Amino acid sequence: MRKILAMAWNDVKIEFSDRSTILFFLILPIVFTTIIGVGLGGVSSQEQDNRIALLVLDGDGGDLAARFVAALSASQVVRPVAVTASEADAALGKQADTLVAVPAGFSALLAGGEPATVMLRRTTNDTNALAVEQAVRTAAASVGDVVAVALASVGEAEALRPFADAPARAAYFGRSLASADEMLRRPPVTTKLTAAPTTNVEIGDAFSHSSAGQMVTWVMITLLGAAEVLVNERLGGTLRRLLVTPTQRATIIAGKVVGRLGMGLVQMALLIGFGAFVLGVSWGRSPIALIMVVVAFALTSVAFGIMLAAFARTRSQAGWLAVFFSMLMGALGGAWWPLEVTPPVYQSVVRIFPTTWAMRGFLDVIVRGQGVSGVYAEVLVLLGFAVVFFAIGIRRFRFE
Amino acid sequence: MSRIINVALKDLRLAFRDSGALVMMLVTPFALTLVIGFAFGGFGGSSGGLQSIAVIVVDNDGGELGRAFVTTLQSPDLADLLRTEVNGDEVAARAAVDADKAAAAVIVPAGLSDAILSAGAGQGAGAASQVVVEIYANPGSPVGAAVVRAIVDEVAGHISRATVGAQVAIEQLLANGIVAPQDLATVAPAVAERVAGERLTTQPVSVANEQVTGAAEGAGTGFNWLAYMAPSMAIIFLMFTVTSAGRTILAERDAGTLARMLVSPTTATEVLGGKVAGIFLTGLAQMVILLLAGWLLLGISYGPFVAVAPLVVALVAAATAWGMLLAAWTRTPAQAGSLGAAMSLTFAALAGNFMPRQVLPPWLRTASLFTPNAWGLEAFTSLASGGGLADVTTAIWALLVMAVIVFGAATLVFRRQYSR
Repeated sequence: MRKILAMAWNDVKIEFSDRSTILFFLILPIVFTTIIGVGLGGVSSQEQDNRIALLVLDGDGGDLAARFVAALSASQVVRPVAVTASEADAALGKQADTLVAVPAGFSALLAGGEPATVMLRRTTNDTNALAVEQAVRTAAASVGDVVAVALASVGEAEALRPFADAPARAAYFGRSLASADEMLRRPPVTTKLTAAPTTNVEIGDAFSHSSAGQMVTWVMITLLGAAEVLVNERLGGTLRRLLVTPTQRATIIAGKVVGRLGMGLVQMALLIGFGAFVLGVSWGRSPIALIMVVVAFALTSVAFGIMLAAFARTRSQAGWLAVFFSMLMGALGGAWWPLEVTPPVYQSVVRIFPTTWAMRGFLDVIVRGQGVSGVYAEVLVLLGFAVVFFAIGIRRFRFE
Repeated sequence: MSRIINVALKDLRLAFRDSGALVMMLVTPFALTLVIGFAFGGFGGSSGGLQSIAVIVVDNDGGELGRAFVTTLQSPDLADLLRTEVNGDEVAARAAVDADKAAAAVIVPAGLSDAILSAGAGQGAGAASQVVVEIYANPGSPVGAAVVRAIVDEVAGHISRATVGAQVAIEQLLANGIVAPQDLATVAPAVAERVAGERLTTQPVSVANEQVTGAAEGAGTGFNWLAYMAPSMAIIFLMFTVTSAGRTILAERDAGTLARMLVSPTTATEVLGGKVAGIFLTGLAQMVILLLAGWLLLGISYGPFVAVAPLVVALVAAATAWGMLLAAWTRTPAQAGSLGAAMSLTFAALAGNFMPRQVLPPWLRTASLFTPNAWGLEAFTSLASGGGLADVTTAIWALLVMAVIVFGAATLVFRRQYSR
């Protein structure tokens, strides 16, 4: 055991003798986690209005146009910015990428029972534009529902007793509109989103996926880097010299594994700590479950690094194989985008990668708030991967 | 000039003979693009995006309105999007969601139909008490749960509209003396039926879309992950290539080949010029190969050639300049390698190469404009939305100006280093 620990500590010292190691070990992961956190609003200030700006050109000025604008103001997606007709063209594409124009006569048309259209102009077709369109349709529907109900009420009254004149009709419409508005503010049928009591994040929080994904990606890069180190030692003759000493091969390999595993575990601990204490990231309710997934994933990654070292012939080969596999398996396993948006076939195929199971384990802990019993399956699968990779790697490993 | 070209072509050949470099330059980004294509349905015949979202419906109501939720969720129109199962056991449904077997369970409460239909028929004046349809969501499937909620909200909204419509109509008839209270029981059901069945069938306010940058709606009706991520991957690995190539200048200096070139009748300017041109050509070849592969194999359309070509040239020029600045500033090949990788990844993170740039806050989108990645992504996104050359001219000029400024800085640093 002493020899294993001595070799492990020696490897750690050699690794960190190059100051650039700290860049990939700690600085870049922290930078990435922070950028992702800021980018997805994980650490945004409560006072900031992060809604998407939407230019609003009210060419009507009537009551129903005002209701439409009020509905947009109440939206959690868009932040209306009023513009005049002369400002609209210049502002579109600069102050905001979308503009909704309420045409003149909007209120009069609707009050008269005629349909009316608002025009949504956009300069992009990206995710924000889609979200804005949905928000505008929701606001339009909320006004449309109130108007439709009021018109229906007018229609029923007219069928039983025609109105004396237009003002009488308009007054009836106004009263119906007010009543409809009040009732639809508290609709008879509504929906409520709930989840299991153990859920650890707000439903719809995509940041929970990205924090786990960042950790999987960066830790893999560190741990697969074992391949390059081992190949370098083999080609440099260090491993051959170790064999001359009264040290068994298994001890040498164990020393290498423990050293790299220790680095990976420390790295993950630092990232988790930084996320929790600086960024306010929640890493679940069960520290033990989290540790189980962390250790299982670290073992799998080190084992994969050993296996790569067994096949790589040069240091350069080991280096690019490590980058290639860590990025590919990270992307495939759901570290970069949630697997739920991929086709069912894709979701089935990617189960052959350890990163898929690591992401599942992390999400069980972080998102679903599950404990030890909730991650048994993922941990066992990861340990199974580790056994297979170690078996292949150790069998084929060459010391010289 | 011929010496510059010779040095450049020599470096280009060396780059494409190095198997490790080829893996980083071409294989990895293309493999990632293929993965993205597979993930988001870029291959012909398969539809990408959300599919077969598992949802369980528990209809505790059993009446007409409860069945409306079931019918909608089982609609043939939604057959590709949803995989709906009807289950009478609410506990089992919640357990299935907790076990990650479904994105959500829709639980329709008992008595929904009775409460709503009686309220709509005017048997209670004023607003009906609210009935809540619960959507028990899987926190691990936020997108799927959101889709299910949107669909259920629409059904709930439709029911609410019909109910309120009937209530308002009846209430106003009573309030204005058009119907006497004693006649309510006779009149109300017919009013309710007409309002829900005939008068509220259309939505009076519609939304018309206009894409200002010019191509018609055929430019795409949704966020195209493939059209975003394919050039995004190409840009990330372009930065890896140019920073790695810059490292070779230091490697040649350490190995002595640079000194040998300087002894020959080749000026330092010609050597450096050749190196720069070599890096530029390597990066350009890489971008062209990757974009072509995406176009031919995945059917990705990047935009009109007259816009894409100058954009790619400007992007590679700006990236090359950053690679040269790195090579000028660092002292050893190992340092250049580490800092180059760090710079490439940091630029990628800041600019939005790993996630749609649009989700970044405005201040970060602005701050990242010192990177070639940001301008490249802005331009490719604009082109994918149907834009043309006019829409990317600003980005092209910005990249060229960046190339000139950064290359100027690199030259100053190089001169200082090699004049010692």
